[in-house]
Amino acid sequence: MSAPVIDCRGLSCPLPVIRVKEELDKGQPFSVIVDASVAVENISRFLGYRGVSFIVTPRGADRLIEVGS
Amino acid sequence: MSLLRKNLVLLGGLLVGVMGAVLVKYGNPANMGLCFVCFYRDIAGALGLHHNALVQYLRPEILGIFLGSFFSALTFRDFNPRGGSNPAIRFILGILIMVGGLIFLGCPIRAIYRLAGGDLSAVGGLLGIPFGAYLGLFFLTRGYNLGKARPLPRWVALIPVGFFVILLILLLIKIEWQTPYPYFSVKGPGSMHAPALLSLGLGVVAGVLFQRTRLCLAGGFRDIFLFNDQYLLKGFLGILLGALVANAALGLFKPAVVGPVAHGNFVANFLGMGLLGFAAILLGGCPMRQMVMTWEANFDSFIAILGMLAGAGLTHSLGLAASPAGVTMGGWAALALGYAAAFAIAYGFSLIRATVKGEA
Repeated sequence: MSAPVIDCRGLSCPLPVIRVKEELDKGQPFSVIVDASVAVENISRFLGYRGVSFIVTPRGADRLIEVGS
Repeated sequence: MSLLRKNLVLLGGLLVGVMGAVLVKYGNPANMGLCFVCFYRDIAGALGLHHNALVQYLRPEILGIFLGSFFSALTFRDFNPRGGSNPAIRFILGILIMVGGLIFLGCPIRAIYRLAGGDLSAVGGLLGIPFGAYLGLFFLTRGYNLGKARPLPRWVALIPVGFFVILLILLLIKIEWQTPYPYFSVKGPGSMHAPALLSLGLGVVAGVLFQRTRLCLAGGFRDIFLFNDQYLLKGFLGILLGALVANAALGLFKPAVVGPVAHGNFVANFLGMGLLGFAAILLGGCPMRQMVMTWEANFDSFIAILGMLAGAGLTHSLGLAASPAGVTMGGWAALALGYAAAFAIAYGFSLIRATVKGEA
């Protein structure tokens, strides 16, 4: 089974980070797709504080953040 | 993250703090170097959305912020036309922001400026912001969501640009030919302003800073409560520090229990700013951030700005706004109704996730 992808495109601040936090608490690897730089920055900062590794890759106009656990 | 990037928001805050003092030194009302609530109110007055002759002026700072944020967003590819996340509700939340803000007499940035100018009555408002943020978060963590914004055609982004270009033209013809419209105050806070070019120029600088740092005064407390993330709160502290030092240097620091263009009702200040904070969290950003996101082509934020202009019109036309004389009976009623509406919206849109499965 591949890691779930959470679609956070179009969500207002700070919902993308809340979704990531909820998913992180499940303890499984996952990916999140966002469409705003501010969401990428907020999520990166949050994951950085938590000491979680992640990779950000562009996906068309959106960004995919793959989160390890 | 590099050290500079981590502290860019602190640096931006410091500059905005100093800028506020400079604008007051050159003519803006006391502790009102920048104030998004006050300036939207003045713009609403200039356009004729209310007829309080004391608070009418097309604040060039806001028009400068439009230019600065717009070109910054375009340059740094943060320009991404989208919208459709319950615009009608966002319009109402914009009104609620102004009701709360005009009870306190300022936005979060002015609350900091007021404190930095020695106005102790600002404390009630400053305490109200985390209170409101907490209320908003209570619902955000229980599924509150206004729905997804979706991509919009690029031409839609021209609508707010067109609206603000018209405001710029109105400002120019008023200054050049003293036309009767737009309305500019001849006395009161609306008549007090720095030279238009200085206001416009500093506004452009502020617009770039705000856009690059993502500074948001509602977000500061929100991120502390949610993730213990201090990034945005650093901006808050930067403004306070910058304004304190600059006020002291320019002789603008005047300790008082109640400062100029303010009132000393602690409960009203606390609840007013609480309502602003609550509504701002439900919107996803403070009154300043809504303006900046408008120039990142977020059409929903533009609708919130229109709500704030309408809210300023309503609040002043109906005599709900506070003044240095205090809060009116209508003001208290509006505050109560404002909280009722904010709770209804917060509750209603938290239920959606529980009932509609699938799309979050």
